[in-house]
Amino acid sequence: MLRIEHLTKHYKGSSKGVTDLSLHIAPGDIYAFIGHNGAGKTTTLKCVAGIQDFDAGTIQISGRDIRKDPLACKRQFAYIPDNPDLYEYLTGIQYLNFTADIFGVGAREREERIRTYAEAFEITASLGDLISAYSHGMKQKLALLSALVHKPKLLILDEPFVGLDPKAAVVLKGIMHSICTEGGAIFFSTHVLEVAEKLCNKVAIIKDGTLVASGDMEIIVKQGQSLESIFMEVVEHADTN
Amino acid sequence: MRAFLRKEWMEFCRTGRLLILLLIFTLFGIMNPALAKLTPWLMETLSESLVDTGLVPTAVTIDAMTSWAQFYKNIPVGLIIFILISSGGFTAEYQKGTLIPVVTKGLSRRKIVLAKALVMFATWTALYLLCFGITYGYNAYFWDNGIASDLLLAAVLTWLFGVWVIALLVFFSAIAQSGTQVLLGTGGVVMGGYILSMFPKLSTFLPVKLMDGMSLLQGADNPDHYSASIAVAGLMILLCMVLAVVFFDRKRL
Repeated sequence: MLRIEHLTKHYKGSSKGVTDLSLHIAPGDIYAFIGHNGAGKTTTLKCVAGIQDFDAGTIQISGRDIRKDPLACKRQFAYIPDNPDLYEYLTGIQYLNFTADIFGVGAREREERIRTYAEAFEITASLGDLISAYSHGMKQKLALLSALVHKPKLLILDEPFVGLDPKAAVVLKGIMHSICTEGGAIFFSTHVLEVAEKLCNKVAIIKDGTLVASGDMEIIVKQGQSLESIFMEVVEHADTN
Repeated sequence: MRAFLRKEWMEFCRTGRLLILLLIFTLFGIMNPALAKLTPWLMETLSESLVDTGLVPTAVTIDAMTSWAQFYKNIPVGLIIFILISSGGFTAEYQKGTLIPVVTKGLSRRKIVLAKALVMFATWTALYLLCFGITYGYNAYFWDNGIASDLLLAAVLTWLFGVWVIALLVFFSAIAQSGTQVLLGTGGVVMGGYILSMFPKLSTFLPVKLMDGMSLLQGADNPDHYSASIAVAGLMILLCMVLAVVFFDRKRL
């Protein structure tokens, strides 16, 4: 589904970035991407989403190269940044229709999906309001809805649970599971290690732009330990090396 | 692209920018003949104070040409206001990050540039037509537009100058990060054009010559003398749009 090979991205005048990162996300995977602030999570996600160019490596989505065929790749996935920056002078429903128009989603499909997800996230009543009147959590829900409106095969999420109320978080987890059951995949960054541990079947840990561990959650999180303790152990071990 | 065009149009309307520009261009359209009409009365009112300062007021002839002269003084102000209001069209989106979800949803970057440019070109054209139409209508009612030679050509040249400035704005919007940088870049090139036009050999080729519509109206210049500046402006508009697409494609959002 998503294949990242030897991804390298460095910013001019900054030590931050990503070095030689390789990951493979298969259909059905819910892949957590964890690391401390500035470790390179958002940079990686932005490169995958095609927002940022990179210095070296390749990124393929369903076999297509993000650099060579960006539009075809973007039709396969949906990306939600860590901060839901939406057009505030549009109403919620106008924004969703705008998104659906870009993806060319038919009237009946969009109506059905918008209704289903809006009800699930409990924002149906607010869809007619201007986005400028939305709270951060509601903007996050709307951004999620706009990501789901074209039924993407791959969801790339940057800190998706920030700002969501507990019920919406549960709904999102359910949606993530159903996407994976249908053969899709999820790749998301998070600081909430408990959520990652319970929700994901795979995990990648990044430190200072370098991948320090990745693979099956069951293998990485050994019996009797938590992801939190493993994360601390791996990061400290990387420090001593 | 249609979805993005619709979004741009909604933004233009709901942020109040369209209303402000409509008011300004309508006001200018009315002011041109109104000021011409009021000139004799103004002269009469001021005559005593003018005499005190040693100036001798004489009879003033008012016709459509006076109103058109006012039009060609006001339209650059209208264009400057248009540019000031439109200068944040791209950069505000960079700063807020609102283009990121759009770009990742598979809308090609060139369509974003073209949609934004198209809305600006169309709005400028509509506002210009509004201002020109109002002035033309009043002039026809009060006086006779026939006094002005090459009226339409002069109007088209001034409109083309506006399109050239907007193309510069689009280009600088694609490379700059803030509205100030966009204004400095656009203003810098236009100012540079005016400075270069002080050299007679160069002035025929510069797009700033397009703003010399009054010379055409008064029959002081030949329409053929504008061919080079039209060609240069056309080429620069094309170049600005191509470069804007190229730079915007590589821009880090």
